[in-house]
Amino acid sequence: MLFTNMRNVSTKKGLKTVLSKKVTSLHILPLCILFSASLYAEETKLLDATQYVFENKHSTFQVGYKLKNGETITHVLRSDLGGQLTNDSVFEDSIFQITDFAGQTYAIQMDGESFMWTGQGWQVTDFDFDMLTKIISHDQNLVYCSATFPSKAMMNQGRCMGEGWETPQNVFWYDITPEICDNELWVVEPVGSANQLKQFDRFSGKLIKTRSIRFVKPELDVCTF
Amino acid sequence: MKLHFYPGQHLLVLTEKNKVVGRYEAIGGPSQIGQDQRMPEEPTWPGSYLIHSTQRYITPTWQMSSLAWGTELQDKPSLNDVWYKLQSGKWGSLLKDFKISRDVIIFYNKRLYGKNAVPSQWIFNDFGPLAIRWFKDLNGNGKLDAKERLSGQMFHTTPDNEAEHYQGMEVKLYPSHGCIHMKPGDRDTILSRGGFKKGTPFVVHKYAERFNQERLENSAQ
Repeated sequence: MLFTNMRNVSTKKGLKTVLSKKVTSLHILPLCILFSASLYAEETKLLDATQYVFENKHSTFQVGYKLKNGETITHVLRSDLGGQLTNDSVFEDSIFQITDFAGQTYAIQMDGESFMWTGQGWQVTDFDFDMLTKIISHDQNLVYCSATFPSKAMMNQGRCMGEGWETPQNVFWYDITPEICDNELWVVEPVGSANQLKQFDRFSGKLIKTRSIRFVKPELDVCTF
Repeated sequence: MKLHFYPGQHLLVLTEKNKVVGRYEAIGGPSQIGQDQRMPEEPTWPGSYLIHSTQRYITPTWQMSSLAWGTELQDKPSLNDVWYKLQSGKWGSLLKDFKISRDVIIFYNKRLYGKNAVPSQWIFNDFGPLAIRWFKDLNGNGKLDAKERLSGQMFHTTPDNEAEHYQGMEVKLYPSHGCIHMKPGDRDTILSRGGFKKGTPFVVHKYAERFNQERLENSAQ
């Protein structure tokens, strides 16, 4: 399984911290310290803010944006471990997720359009996702969920789908991303002022159980409920 | 002035001195209870009411409606956040206070106005800039008092329709959760005619009932 890691990073100091931790995990301290410093310096030129960093065994992808004429333009800075830095700005919306799947790296925009990293650049794929879609898991079968857009108008209800499922399951989630817990897909749904947890079989999509749970914070691990 | 809403026809009628002076497209809730898990859609309840007030509506029930329409915003790109102006004059974080991210704001703004930018004001309240409230005057004294309550259903526009109106596009109404959705231009027309003045009688007809101008004007006399 590929080594993947994604953390929210909102400040330059935060980026430095994440990269420093990565250095320790890869046991290539000198090289990565140089790389980290280089990326940090470049960030000040190429991005006005970093949103998060995605790393796999080949590269580091730094997702952020640059302000230009009052508009926010999404950029992904890529750097392989040799330190080469590329700046890609083919995106029209913010990146909702970067992830590895079937040996390739994909970026999914908020509008659901997805791109595959070819090694040379980002290429639009044929995957037709709903807006606000995230790939939840891909290690056994592909499971992905789209979030409920927070407006009252049902712009996007929110649903999950997986390889092997007959139909998608309608679910409501916004800031608490569903997770795979012991071969089940767990989704926390707000119901009025309370919450409920729905557990689906990850292979069939069948609803196994629904139970009420106490108030939860977005940063908590869904599998702990 | 008197207002009549025919939910089965998506029709709002304004009368003055027992004559029909305006007809406007307006859409209420479905005729049966719906299945929106966040809040099930419900019919716009038939009955006789009085208009109570026109206000900027906020409610924590709907995330994007936690903030009043027109609230001043400040983009904070280096913080990945957007700040909003509090009544005290201080600034609060949309992310911390309402879990609304800068990305979502820009995404919504782009869908509505085509701009990858944070607007200078909050234009995403689900109830639009103005909500027109009504109540059932149970004791017939023309005032909201005793055990009377404002209806949770109200006239309002939507962010989508406001954006369409602002850009001179065709305004396409869609069904509500029970409120009455109307076009921004029609709201302004009825407001200017005094149709939403406090105390104006307002009737929600049954879903099966059809508008008949002659019958309506004769019955009012």
